[in-house]
Amino acid sequence: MKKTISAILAFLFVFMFSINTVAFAATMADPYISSMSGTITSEGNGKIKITFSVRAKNTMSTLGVDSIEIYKSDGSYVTTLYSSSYPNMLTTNARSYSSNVSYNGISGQNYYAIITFYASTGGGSSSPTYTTSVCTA
Amino acid sequence: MRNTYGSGNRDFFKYNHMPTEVLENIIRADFYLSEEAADPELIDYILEILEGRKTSEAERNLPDIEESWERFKKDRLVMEPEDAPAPTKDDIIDFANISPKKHLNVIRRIASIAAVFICVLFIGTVAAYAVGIDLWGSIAQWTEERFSFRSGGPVQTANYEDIPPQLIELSEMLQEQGVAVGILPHYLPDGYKWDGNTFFDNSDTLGVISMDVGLTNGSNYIVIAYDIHTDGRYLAEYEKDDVELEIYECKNVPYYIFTNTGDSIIVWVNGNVECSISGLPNEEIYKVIESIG
Repeated sequence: MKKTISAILAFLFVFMFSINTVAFAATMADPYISSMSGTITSEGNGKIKITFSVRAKNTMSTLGVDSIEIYKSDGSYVTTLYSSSYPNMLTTNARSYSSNVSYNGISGQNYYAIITFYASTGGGSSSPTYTTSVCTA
Repeated sequence: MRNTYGSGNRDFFKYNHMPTEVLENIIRADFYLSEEAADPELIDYILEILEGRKTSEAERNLPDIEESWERFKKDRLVMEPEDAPAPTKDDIIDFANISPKKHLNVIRRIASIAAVFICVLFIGTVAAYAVGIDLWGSIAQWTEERFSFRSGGPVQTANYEDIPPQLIELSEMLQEQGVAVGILPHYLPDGYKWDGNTFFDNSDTLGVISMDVGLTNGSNYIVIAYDIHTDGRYLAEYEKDDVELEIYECKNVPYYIFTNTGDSIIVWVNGNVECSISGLPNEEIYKVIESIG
């Protein structure tokens, strides 16, 4: 009976977690960005590559990614990659943009990334976020 | 067994002389009663009566234990490996003598678990639908602020004839990628000029080949975009506001129409191609959709 109750509670927990994940994935509507996507892939020997793409509503004076926070799969923070150090994370006068950056992690470690996109025009800027799935380095 | 004339202030004596079938019917009836209407004290008393009767009957019909044990060893142990330890008498479970009270408890527990499971599933389905997930066959999901597809959609055959001139280059890019599904609009609002195409091949990382065209009339901007899924990895998230999303079906293809800070966006899937048109004036949305094919 205890096993049954545990199974029910586990199911309940997983289900509620799934719903909450969907709910917390949401941010605000964006005045400049239409859609975005990102992924994290293994390059071998502990190296990981974060690839992103973003599409704006219009031609932006600056478009791309402002920063990428890397976390271990248990949620512990690892590092942040900034566009100031990786110039290819941003472009100018573009409606769509896609690029990637690499990071040397630890082989066998599971990582995910939170990508902060960036779009700006003369009238303002926005920086929505996107969370990737987990990848084993 | 309780042989008193009642429990507490209540008189249950009459149940001692009732036939077993009648008592079992009372228990069955109680099982279907609500929590308030049920009488657990009476049911406990009846169960004890039945347990007593069953024990008496079992004792009268009790088979010889040694004879049963020898028959069990002869019939059931022949297939066991020779080095396997022989079971003892304690290993034999006497299912025939499980009390009716325990049996009823087991049924009640199973029913309770089933009820909890159904409730969780129902509540989960309602909650999921409220945030835009159709658990029973979804291809799209959305919250008040984001929209995304989880799997492909129906396929509509492509018609590359009579494409508006602003989309010629885009149609060539699609054909180069072998796209044979009907995803290009054959109608565009007047006054919009071509403002460039973009193309990104991220098939090895994001699992997508993306292309789009920008159209502008000077004050408004339309983006027609196609993302060809090369495997199941790609997941785009579309920004949206909390205005209710509309699903408009045309030629068996569901089109998801919503707004992002007031600007319209149409998103749909045809085969493995995820398509979107953003920035269309509201009065042109359905005319453009009807022309897609």
